Amino acid sequence: MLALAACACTCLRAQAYAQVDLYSLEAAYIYNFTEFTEWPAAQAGGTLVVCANPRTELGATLAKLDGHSVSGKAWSVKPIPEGAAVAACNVLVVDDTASSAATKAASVRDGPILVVRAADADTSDYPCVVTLVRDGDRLRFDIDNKEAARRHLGLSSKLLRLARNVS
Amino acid sequence: MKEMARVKLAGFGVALLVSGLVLLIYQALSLRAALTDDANMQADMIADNVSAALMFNDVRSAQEVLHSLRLMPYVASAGIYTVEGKRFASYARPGASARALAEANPANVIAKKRRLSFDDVFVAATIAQNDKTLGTVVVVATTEQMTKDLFHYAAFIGGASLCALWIAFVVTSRMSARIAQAEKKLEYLASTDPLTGLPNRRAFYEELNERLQRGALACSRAALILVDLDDFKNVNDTLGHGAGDELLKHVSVALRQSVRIADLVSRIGGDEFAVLVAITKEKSEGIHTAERIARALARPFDLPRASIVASASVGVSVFPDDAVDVASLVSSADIALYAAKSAGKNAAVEFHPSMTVEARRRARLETELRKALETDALHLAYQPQFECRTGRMIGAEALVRWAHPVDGEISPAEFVPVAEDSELIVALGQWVLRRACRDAARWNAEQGNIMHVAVNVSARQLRQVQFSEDVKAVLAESGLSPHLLELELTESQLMANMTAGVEAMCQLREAGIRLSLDDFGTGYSSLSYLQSFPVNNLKIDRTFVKPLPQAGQPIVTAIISMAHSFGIAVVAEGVEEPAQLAWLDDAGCDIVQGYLLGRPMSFEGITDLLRSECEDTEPSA
Repeated sequence: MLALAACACTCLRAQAYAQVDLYSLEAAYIYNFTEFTEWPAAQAGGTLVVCANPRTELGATLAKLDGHSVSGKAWSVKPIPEGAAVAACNVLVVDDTASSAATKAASVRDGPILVVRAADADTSDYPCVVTLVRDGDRLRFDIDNKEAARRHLGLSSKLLRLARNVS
Repeated sequence: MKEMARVKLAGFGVALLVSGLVLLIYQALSLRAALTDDANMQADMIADNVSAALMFNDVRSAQEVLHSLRLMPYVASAGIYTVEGKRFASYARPGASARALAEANPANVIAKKRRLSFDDVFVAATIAQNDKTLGTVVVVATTEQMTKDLFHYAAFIGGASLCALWIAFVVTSRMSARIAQAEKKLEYLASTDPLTGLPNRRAFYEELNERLQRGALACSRAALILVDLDDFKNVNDTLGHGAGDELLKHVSVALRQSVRIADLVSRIGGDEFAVLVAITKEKSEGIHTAERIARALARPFDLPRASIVASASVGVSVFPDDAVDVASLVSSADIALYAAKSAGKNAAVEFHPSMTVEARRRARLETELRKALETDALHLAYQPQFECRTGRMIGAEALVRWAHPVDGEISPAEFVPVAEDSELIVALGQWVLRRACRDAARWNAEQGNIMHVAVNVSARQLRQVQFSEDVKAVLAESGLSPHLLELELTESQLMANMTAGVEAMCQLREAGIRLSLDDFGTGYSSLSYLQSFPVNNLKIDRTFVKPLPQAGQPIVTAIISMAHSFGIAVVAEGVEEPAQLAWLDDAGCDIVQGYLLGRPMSFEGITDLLRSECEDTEPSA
């Protein structure tokens, strides 16, 4: 936990020098999002399944956070499963076409999955709960609260306040 | 008194000040505690709200949260710091200096944790998310409002205290004024004679003490003059107490007028006055003033119902010639007063050392007379009385005698007045009466003869309520027939208390006891009195008998014929010459008594005489 915080802070500091380690920052953001998100009680378990494409830079960075815990749940970073198995994910990180397809599969259902789209992802066809956006040399995010509600996810008002756009 | 009120007020003021201060301190403490609580609450709220902003490094959002503090006027500045101690965002009240911005620093929080101070309040709250410490919020609250509140509070307390102080001042000053008035009144009542308005005994002795002390220092003289009204009791008894009071008022005015303003005049007893006069030159001034006073009082005073001559006896003692201290000055003046009374009243007498000797002798006589009465050391002598017509001895007057073991025979003229001055006269009179009755019963029993005994009665005895009962008891005890007892009363003592006197006389007469009016002709000798007194005999005083037969016949003739017209027998005493006896016999006097016929003798002498008389008469019979 401390290591992560230290990591996040290092990233923040890096941002101050405009040398953005974008993926690290994005990973830290995603990690923070899980802090402010509440999954339905039925979903509550010992682990928080974070599905990401391990072949991408972001996926690789997220994989480093595997085992860290958030609100008593351990992060479990896994590759994005095929088809209906995507429902096992708590967090789905969309950053390339492969993950985009999974998103497509997930979007038809209303399973409680926090879908986060990375800043440089070129797929924007399917609704995501959180969309990371590059704003100058800063990283910001938009929140689709309706999508979150559809997926029975509770997002903290603290998080909503920080969002660039809330729809 | 005013000083006392001021001291009380000052004490009250101090108490108010202390309580005010305590209240203020308490108020300051609670105001600061409330301010700290508020600031803590704000810091906690901020800490809760900025955790996400800190996590996402969103300074703008953090600033927005901080900006909400503008609604809290007491927050001077606030700052958000990261765990590393770096400033993340800060806020300062509009118009605050740059220094205030930097002031909200975690380093200041610990340093400025004081409970009683007017410095700004520094509080900090930890920013945490899911038990993860993210940073610190520091809020600085100004004490401006608190100070203002405290000033208002202080002003209110001050106002209330002043109000209380004013009320206390009014109340205490009124109360002390009343107390002072009451004390003054008490002092007046305690030191003044209410009737005459003159200082009373206590006040006089205090003033006397003070003046003598001053006089001793200044080597000046002062005369203490004691004034005692003669026969004041008579005025009270005959004219009533109202008249007595009136007379006292007149006397007090007359006394005041006969001395200087600076001199002290006081009523120290019922009819006793004291005057303290400063003497400027010679000692004789004292007696001159006393004589002036005696003259001033020896004139008629107009009372509502009568005009009364209030003669007074005056005694003078001079300080420091006659006495050097208060006690001896008073006692020497008292001795002089006694001498004045003994000298026949209405006189002023100056103290002389020899008087002390007399006074001591009197005191000694009184003690020894009491002892003599207790031990039966007195005895009686009897002077026979003869009937003029037959020459028979018909009675004897009992006369008390005192043979002192050291001083020898003491004259009744000396010890009877001593007894009269004290209650001793009652016991003496009773002793004489008892002894005389016993003796008379004996001589009457032995001889089978009829011879009465005459006993003198003092005014004090007559004043005793149970006197007539006592006499009856003595008669019963001795077995003497009541008609053989003759009580001799003096005219003046009957005058002193007419009602009581006449009542007692009637009771005695009812019991069969004979009464005789002694010393007739020396006092008032009012005919109306003679009518109201139920007496059997009337005794012509020896002063009328003495010039007979060459002079004074008209008055004796008048007394005898007057007494006879009232049906009263006449006794002449002090018969010493045969010519006197012959004249009295001719004039119709009933009974005679005197040295010519028989000197006072012992009981045995009387019985002998009685026996020989019987022997004389028997052969002729």
